[in-house]
Amino acid sequence: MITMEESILIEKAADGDLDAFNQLVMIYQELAFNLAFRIMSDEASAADATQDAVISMYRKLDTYRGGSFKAWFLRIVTNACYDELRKQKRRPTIPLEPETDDGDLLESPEWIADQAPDMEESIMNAQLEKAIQNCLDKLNEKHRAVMVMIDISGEDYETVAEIIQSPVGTVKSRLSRARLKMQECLQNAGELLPDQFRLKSEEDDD
Amino acid sequence: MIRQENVTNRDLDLLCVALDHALKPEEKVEFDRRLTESPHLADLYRTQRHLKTAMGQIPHRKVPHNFTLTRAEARKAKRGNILQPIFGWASAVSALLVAVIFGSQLFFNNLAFAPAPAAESPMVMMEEHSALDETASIGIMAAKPVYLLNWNYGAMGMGGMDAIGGKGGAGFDGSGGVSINIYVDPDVVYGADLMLESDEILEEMPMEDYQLEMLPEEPIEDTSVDQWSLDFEETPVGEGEAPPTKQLQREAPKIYGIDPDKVGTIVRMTPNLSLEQPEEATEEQAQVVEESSDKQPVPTEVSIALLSAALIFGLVWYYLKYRR
Repeated sequence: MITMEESILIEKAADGDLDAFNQLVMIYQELAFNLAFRIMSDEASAADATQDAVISMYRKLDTYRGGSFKAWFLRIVTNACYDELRKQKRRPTIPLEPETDDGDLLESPEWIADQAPDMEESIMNAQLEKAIQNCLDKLNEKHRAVMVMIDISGEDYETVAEIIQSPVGTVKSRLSRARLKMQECLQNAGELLPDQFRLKSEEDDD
Repeated sequence: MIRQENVTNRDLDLLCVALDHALKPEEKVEFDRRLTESPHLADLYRTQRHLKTAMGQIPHRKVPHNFTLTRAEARKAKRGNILQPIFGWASAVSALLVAVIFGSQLFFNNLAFAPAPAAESPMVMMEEHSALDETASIGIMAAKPVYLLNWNYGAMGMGGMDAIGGKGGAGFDGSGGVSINIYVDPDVVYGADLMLESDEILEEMPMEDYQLEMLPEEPIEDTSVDQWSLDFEETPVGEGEAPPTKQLQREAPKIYGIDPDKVGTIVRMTPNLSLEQPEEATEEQAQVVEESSDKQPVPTEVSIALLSAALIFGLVWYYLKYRR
């Protein structure tokens, strides 16, 4: 649903009001960036994709024909992520951070710099996030996008269907397959997960 | 594998919807029943719930910077927005023009070739030249009968019996005379001063298979012909009996003389007219081909230029749309 304020901002932005457009960006940029980050699995690439999406949205604002503005914007973000992923496949990059032989980072400067009060909880969250992100990366792009939007961003089926421009049934089937693959992946990498997030089947096995 | 045989696709669909708390009442009843029937499905449901909970607890990342646009960035974005559709349309129009040009050329070429299927190309016609000669010769001979007149002279005046059957035979007869074969065109009216005597005509038959012509090396004057007197009898094709002799008041056939050394020699096996008509036909066909190739509505250079423009505009459009 579009709020009255949002509708006014969209109308002004379509008329060329840059301030109104930037207010819209401020509303949705965190959502867009997190979606891009989960799809891209890299902060810099996610930032690039988000910026591209914002520019693309500015260009295409006059083509917006109503409906959910959030879904419309997230569709642009998703497409920008797919474009960025295709670019990366054509021009693979080598990360500057030190990695193990398995491709994992030796240490994350962000975690070290994290000023969370509970260091143990922060580490567990970081491990969980890393394990999930690793398994997300193993999914194909379409399954990954659907799972991120529903299970991480918390969007509903209809919104996601509008974002990916597919029927709700397609969303459900993709989500079902993605969840099964994620579960299988996490079970294979169970030791990386904190105990409180271990899957029930693993606990039963123990 | 996680999935087992007792878990159906329907179970997985219901499981997925159940995790998002979106089951309809009847679906919820069905899913609860399946959970009690299948322990594996129940275990799958528990683990998937843990997974969803875990994913929902992933903290959101803070944006590294605001993604708002400055005035300069907005102007740049709009400028690119104008150029991209221009190049896109230019590419599309160029490609469409190229397609129309090639399509029309193909269409009109087909139309041009339709009434003259033999006029394929000069090279092909050259290769088929000999075949055309033969067919044309046969066609002419069939359409226009040429009569062969056996005429002889000799000491007894009774020679020439060996040139029978229209096979072009010629030579000395038993009495030492000479017989020659002369082509006589039945459509030509000969001079009235010729009085033919039936006794001197030995054989006259339509030319079907072979033709014999004796050509003189040196033409003699026409006045010598006037001294001769020929009996002429015309026998229609296929008739066994000779029709009654008729006196023809026509132009005298031109006989250029007789070379005694070449009597009995086959000089030519085909009539002279045989080559003329096919050559004319092939020349006309070649002209049709040349004209059809010269009459292209759009020069090839224009087509190539349009094709190049379509490619270049398309590449620029692709760059502006996807690479920037």
